[in-house]
Amino acid sequence: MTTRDLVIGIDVGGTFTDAIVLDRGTGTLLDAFKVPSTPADPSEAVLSAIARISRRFDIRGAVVCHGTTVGTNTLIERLGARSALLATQGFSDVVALRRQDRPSLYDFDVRISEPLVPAARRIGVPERVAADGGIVRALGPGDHEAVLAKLRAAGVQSVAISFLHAYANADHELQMEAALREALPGVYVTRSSDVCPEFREYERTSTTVVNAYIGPAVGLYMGVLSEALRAQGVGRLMIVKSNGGLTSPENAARYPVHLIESGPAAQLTAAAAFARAKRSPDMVAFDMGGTTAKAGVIRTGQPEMTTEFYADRLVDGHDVGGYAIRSSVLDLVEIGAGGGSIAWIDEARVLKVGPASAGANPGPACYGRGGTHPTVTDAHAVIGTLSAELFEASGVAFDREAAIAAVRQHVAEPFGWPLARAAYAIIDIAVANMAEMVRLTTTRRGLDPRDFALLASGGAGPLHAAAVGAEIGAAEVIVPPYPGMFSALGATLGNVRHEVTTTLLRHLDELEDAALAATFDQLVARTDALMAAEPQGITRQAPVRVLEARFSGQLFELPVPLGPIDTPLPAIGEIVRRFRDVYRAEYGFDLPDARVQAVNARLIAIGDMGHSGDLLFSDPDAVARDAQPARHIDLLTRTGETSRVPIYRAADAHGAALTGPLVIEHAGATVWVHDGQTARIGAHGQVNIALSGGFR
Amino acid sequence: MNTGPQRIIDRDPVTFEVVRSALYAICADMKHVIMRTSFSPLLSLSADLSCALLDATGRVVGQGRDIPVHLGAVPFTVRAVFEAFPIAGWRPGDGVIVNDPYAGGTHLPDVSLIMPIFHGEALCGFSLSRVHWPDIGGIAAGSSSVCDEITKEGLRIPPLRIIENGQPRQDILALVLANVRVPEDRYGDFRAQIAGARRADQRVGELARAYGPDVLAEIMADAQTYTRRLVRSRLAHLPDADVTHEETLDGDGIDPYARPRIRARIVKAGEAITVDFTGSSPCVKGPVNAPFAVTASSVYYTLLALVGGDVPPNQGVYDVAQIVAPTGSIVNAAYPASVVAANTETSNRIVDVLLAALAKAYPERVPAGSYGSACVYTLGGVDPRTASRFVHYETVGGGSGASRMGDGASGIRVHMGNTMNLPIEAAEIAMPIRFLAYELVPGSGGRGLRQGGDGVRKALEILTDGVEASILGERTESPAHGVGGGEAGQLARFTLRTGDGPARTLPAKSGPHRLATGDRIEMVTAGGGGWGKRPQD
Repeated sequence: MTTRDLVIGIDVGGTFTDAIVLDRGTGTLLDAFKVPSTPADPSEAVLSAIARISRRFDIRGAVVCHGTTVGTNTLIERLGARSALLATQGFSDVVALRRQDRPSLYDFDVRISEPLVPAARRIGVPERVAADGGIVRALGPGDHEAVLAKLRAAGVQSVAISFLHAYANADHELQMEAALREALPGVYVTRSSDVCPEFREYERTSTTVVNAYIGPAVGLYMGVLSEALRAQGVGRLMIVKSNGGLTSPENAARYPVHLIESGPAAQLTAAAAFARAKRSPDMVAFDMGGTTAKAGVIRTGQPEMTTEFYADRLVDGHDVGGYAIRSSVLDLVEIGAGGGSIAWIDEARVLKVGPASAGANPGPACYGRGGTHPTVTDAHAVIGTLSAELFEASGVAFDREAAIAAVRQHVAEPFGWPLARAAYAIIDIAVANMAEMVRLTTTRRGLDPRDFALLASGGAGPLHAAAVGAEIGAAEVIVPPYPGMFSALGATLGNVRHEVTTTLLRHLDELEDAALAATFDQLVARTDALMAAEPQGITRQAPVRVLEARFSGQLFELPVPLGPIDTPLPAIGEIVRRFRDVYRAEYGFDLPDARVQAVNARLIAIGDMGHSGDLLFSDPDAVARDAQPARHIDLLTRTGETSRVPIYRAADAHGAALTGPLVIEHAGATVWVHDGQTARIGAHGQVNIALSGGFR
Repeated sequence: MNTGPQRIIDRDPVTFEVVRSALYAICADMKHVIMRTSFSPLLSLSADLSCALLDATGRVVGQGRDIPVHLGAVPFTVRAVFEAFPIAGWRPGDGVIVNDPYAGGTHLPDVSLIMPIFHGEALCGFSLSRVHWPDIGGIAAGSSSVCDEITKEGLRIPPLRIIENGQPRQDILALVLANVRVPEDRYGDFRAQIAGARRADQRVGELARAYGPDVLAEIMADAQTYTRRLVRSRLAHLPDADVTHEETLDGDGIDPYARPRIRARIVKAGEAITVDFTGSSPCVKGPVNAPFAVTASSVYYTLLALVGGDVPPNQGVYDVAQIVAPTGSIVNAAYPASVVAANTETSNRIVDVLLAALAKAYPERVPAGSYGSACVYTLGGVDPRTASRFVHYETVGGGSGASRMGDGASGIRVHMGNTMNLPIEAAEIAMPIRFLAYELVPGSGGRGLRQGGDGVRKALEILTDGVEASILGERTESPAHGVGGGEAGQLARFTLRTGDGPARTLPAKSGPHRLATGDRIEMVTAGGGGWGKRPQD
């Protein structure tokens, strides 16, 4: 047993729960391992991982940083609370009406996510606030009683309160909340003016309803886990939010809707920390696993953020609308495609890959568990980039013959193609799908992919990264150390992060400097209250102001940074000028005659946990040296010949510069370097691939 | 099929699939840019716009997941534009604007911009955006009221070369902007369309560089082959049918006795399908007359949904359907008939008529009737808080029809349109109105083994004097049909209360009404039809 300042990162996935142990002082990774997840009660796997760590290390005082899917799973599996919605009378169907558009277009079978609160528990309250915050119809004491009677009769476990224009005047929501807390102890109560005080009633109400729906389950989980960890002597538990920041279990239980993207966010946090450590601030993080792939952009060392997304939108590959959530969230594009995606031929004789997936069971044909449909992973088994040696560690009985049979029967023979052509065709389509996903994060947002390095993680990311990078024209591909543990690593690399907003909807030229300053002061009071619920010992940075503004008449706002709260607030004229700069950078033109409107004021408060990836990801240039391949394989080429290709083990090849075609085995992942591409392996096992060559 | 192995779809289906998918992704990109930079809530919040890519001969090769009535009409727009400006004469940086329903347009508010995409000297294709401008002039704000001829409906723009060498022609632009309400915002919307075209130009250019303009042209051609193959193969698997159905529209807003009939005979034989509207009524005075492009859009939509919904739409499907519609009829309007409501009302009813006909042959494959409308309402006036003019164009969802697969959706846009609502809060911030209700009408969907979707009640109060209002709706008299023993949906109802008087019921289409402070409009949209007999209690 050694005594160190430990930080433990835990990420709960569908199949495995990943754990890493960091020494905060030296930035050294002390341990990294996976245990099977326990979906019925995810805390079991977390606690068994902690128990395993405690057998090797002294975990007293350690910080456990946890990316959790408990809220997401509660939502997706519809295991949430029996909830009610209190809404302005006449408008209580807002969560059913949504935005009235349908998610699929030429479709006689349109399916739409069912409201989380059924009509019988959507209760209209006789009150009305106007757009300017004025009271049109006051809420009376008798109204409280009528509502309480309905809630008691319905036997609810949680209540969402969301009245029209509550972002402009929260009095009615506050009154109702107070009445409920007094009369219904034990019922989880949440209000829109607290969770999402922004205009647009569907999005605000939907966010509040999701909060109410998953609130009790998340609260219970946080309570159980905190208690168990305390019993083991752990110093504190911190939870990863959708924006990649960390928060206390208490704040997490109050705003569970802010945790929906917890796991993917941690992965992007790790990518950003990596980019900062490399002094290479612009990267596209590319993650590919068995069933999904994700991409997100890091600019100037920070992950791109957005403020709205739809949860549970894809069901069996079909868009069903999902649930709108407004909360700060790392800007990730996710597609339902991965190593398990199945290749098939449609009736016009064109090859498709996905959206159907072999999943974990039976899995790809080469897993030898009864799968007969060819997957992307099987195409690699046919080509030889995935081999039995790699699977030994994970206990999968690798069956290349089954992969060959699947590719032959379902792709090669129907097309009359040689086996090699069929296998490469599957990978080409998969790579094209991945490249289009990456374009959604770059080109769609006006960014040029050629300005970015592609950072690959996940089980299948390193295998495809060199091809995807070449397809989009990326500057370089980088496979970091521990690509399979990126989410667990990222959990430990976040800071406490709270963002609060308020809606302004005022023309900037009508706004007084003092009034804007007062608005931010009110936001500071809110972040102070949130920070008070965070543990002691974090270093609080001065909160940073952002104004979300747009040209009057437009409906999409852009963020204008206004500096930390301890610096002078820029004058209104200066803010207008900065907005125009931001607008021009985004869209390429300015509108000199248009007025600028302030939509939301946002304050971002950060408490520094003191965990940096700089030491962890430091990768001093290794002394250049030659490396010997671990072995050779016969790789099937595009044209059907076999080519003797070396396989290197990254751990044995530090400092080597190698020219493809070759394969690198790297911390449980496989990196495929193509003809003409050059791979450089750093002192800690990082792989950089120069993309002078191509894949196709 | 005359598709030899030399075609790229067969020779190299992988490159084909990669580039074909990119063509659709580019349309989505265009739309994103236009929404983000436009000035109308109707565009940026409600997404009332559509984007398409055309090959160098003007055939549709890709389109966004946008508005079916916009998209199905694109081939007709293109034909009219190329008659005015033959393809050989296009130069880089040209742009042609058009909205004339009698020259390939849909209704006057839908303004299209077509720009060419060159790779060096070679013409690779065209981008097209069709954007609903919230106002295009005419007798009432919102340009969606009741008129007896198209000249009163607004500014009619024949194909005009409004952009030359990448620069808008200020003379034409000035003429257009002088004839619309809130011209500053309309200029912003036009700028957004140009920004969208630029994005398409850039990304198609990248494809041409990466794969070569010849391969790109081949793939554009085979994208249509691909879609045609899918549609034909699925039609071939359906039993043949010869079915007919007819219904009447609930008035035209002018002639109280007008009940124009839509009659459709669908003949499906092997891989071919013909829709013959012979027997439909002649044009009427009010604005429900459908230009042929609108009627064709409704047929294309129905065909695409019938064959499965996952077929990528392009000219390949548009070529499969043969359509017969007598000139001068309600389904093939002739100048000077007014047309504005055909886009939103007649088009959806045509689909319901086609569905009722198809239900006679394929009751397991098609849903029951829908609320058959977009339920458009427009408001315009001066906001006393800012002393500036406002125009509000909005649609209201309703019930969709049930099908064997499940209950109909409630409070949703159906068939030919798919715009989002403007949030109640956004509308109240922007205009002197207050909403009284926006809710579902429980039980308004037709009963059956599967329930029809419920309609919507939306009510509002005017907070200032001198507001013009119009409503274009449907199904106040003829309910959405059920299928296979399912019951019909409940009817729509529109009422207006002015001053202290009683609420009076409005016809399906009415306006412009002149409203004052305290006046109230209530719109109740129809429920969808049920599917199958209810189990006996």
